[in-house]
Amino acid sequence: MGFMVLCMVLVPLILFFVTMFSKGKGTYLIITVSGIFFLICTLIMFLSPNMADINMPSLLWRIISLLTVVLIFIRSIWDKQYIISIFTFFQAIILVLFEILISPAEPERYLYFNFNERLLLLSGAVVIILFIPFIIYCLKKLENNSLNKLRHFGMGFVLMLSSFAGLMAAKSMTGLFLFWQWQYISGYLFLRVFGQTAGAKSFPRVIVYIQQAALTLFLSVSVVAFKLTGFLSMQDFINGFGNISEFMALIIFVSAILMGLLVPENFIPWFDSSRAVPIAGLYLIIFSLIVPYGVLLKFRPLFNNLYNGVISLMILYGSLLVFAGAYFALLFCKSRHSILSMIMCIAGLAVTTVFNKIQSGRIFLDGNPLPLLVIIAGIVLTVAYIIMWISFIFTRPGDTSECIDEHMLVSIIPFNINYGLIIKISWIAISALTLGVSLSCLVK
Amino acid sequence: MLGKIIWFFAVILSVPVLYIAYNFIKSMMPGQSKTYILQPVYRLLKLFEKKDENAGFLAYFFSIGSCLFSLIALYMTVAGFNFLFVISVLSMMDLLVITGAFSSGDFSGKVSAKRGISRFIIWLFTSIVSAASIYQVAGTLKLNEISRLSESNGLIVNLPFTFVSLFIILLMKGNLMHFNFGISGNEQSLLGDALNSPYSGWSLAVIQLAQWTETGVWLKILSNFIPVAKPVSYGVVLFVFLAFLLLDGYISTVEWKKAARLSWGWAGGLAIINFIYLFYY
Repeated sequence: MGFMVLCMVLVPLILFFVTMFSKGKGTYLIITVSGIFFLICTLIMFLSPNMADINMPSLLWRIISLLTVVLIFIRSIWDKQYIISIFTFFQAIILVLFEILISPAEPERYLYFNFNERLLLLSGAVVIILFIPFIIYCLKKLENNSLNKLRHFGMGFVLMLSSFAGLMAAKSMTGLFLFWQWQYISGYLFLRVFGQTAGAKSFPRVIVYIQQAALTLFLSVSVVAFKLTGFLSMQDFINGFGNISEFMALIIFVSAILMGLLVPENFIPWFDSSRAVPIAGLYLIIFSLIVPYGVLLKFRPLFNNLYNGVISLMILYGSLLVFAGAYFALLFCKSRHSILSMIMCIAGLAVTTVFNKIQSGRIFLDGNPLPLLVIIAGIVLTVAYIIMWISFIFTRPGDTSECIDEHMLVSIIPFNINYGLIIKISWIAISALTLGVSLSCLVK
Repeated sequence: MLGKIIWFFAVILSVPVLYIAYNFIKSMMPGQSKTYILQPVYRLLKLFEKKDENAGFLAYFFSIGSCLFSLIALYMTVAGFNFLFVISVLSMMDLLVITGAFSSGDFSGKVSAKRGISRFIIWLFTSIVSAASIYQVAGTLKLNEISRLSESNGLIVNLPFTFVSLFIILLMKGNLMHFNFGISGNEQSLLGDALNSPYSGWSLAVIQLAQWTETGVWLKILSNFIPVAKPVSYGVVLFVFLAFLLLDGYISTVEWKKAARLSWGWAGGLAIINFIYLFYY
């Protein structure tokens, strides 16, 4: 295991505990130092990838996984979020039984970056360092800036760095599970800081529940994958899992989508507080854009074996994300929400790109022109948004009747159509279709 | 190279000549007022002579910028560049006109900008879908290759609706028939006069030149699909466009939103139909 990889994962984790006991003092310093440290480590690793190796026993990672799940379980009981308690309880049971009964061998290199992952990590590190001044500026403007909130924010930030590095470097499914849980804790801490801001819409709790449900399924899939192939490493899934390949791939895809908050729904108003926008933007760029792309790339050996119908539907889902992101960005034109919606739009392109040029002998929905048309429509809406945004630089909000009486979106697409409803129906339909096609592969 | 330069100037000159011919034929028609043959060019020259009202640096910047981009698009078209490159440059041209209209900050400027964006997304969507169809059939998006394949293989047989949708873009750009968004500055109503407000005098003349050049670009693009020699195909498209210019005098204008809906239906819809047909057959 590379020394630098370990540094990137463990040093922010150590800082997490330092922040936990610091009572909020020095949070700004910790945020700045951790961001710079992360960038330096990424640069060093990018320029010189083959540095000294450190042999860290995989048992340690298993203990950390179990401790993480137990921590979330205890915290959820403390917060009276019993649905999360149920999911984490099952996760803990699975982890314990998996270790006692099967004792799987983790890949030799538990954490390792290939070239693509180093590139993604570098781009993420650059984005992080660019966002830090805005984050600190907005934090300082936080009116009731209690030390407790600052402490939570600092803990969330350093854990975000750690989970980002871990998700990019993880080579096994259990590794992905662990670092997704860290991402969950990081998001939970940010919610504690900004979730109860006055005027902000309450965050839809159902997303948190669905994320834990997806992680439970993901962990179960990793157990099944090990039973079927004898491996936990993604690169060893070249031959697939037989009849259940499609179903397993669907759960993996859904896990990546849900952990990346890539549901084409209008949940962005959650980030209503302007103070939350920089960290929300950073969180979405890392976990909605870079991480899902990087994680899905790891599973390409598995996706190469899939029935083409599932792939086509996954591409269709990605294209829907492009359109939905662009639509919501235009809907909130001249608003800070637009930027966050644009991230979903770009993430959709990334998801679609992962599945591009995956070969398969069988054909279902193959050569479907619909994804391309939806992507084109999304790109055109994005261009319209950019024009509106540039135009806004030159002018102020309209004072004429034609400018005020109707929404900009209605004026440029003059049809009386409820696009929001169409988007909802479309993503539900695609999800149901993908599930149907995956299940139909089971009975072949 | 010489051929490209000749084509470049031929296309630039052909559009004013077309409007002069239109003006001449129209003046000869019964019930139409008599005008000078060179009226379109004369109007342009008079605009150049006028001093801009309340125009600052931005009005000149946007008008000159749009004209420059239209000339670049024209060169790329006659040189046979990639269709999508030409579309990108034309988008930049439209972007400058729209942003300039917004920058005026007054009523008609904003109205024309909003209509401009509506028209822009329709023609951009149609163009990209058409490009996808063309690539599906020809395997290339280079205009010179498309022209060569049209002559040898008759590409238009597989791309009839794409051709029609591209022609409707030309009608939208020319503010003709039921695809008139009312931003030409020709209409007598307050709203129809929109484009004149942010741009007047010298800057409006430059915008007018840019739009003529843009019309030439679309005529040249369309001519690539006609399966005959280049000059003949360009002449055919020019003639058909003249026919629609004359026909426009007998068609009542529609409210701009209806024009937008019709444009989506005809330009966007036909492009999609051809695209889907190519995928499945």
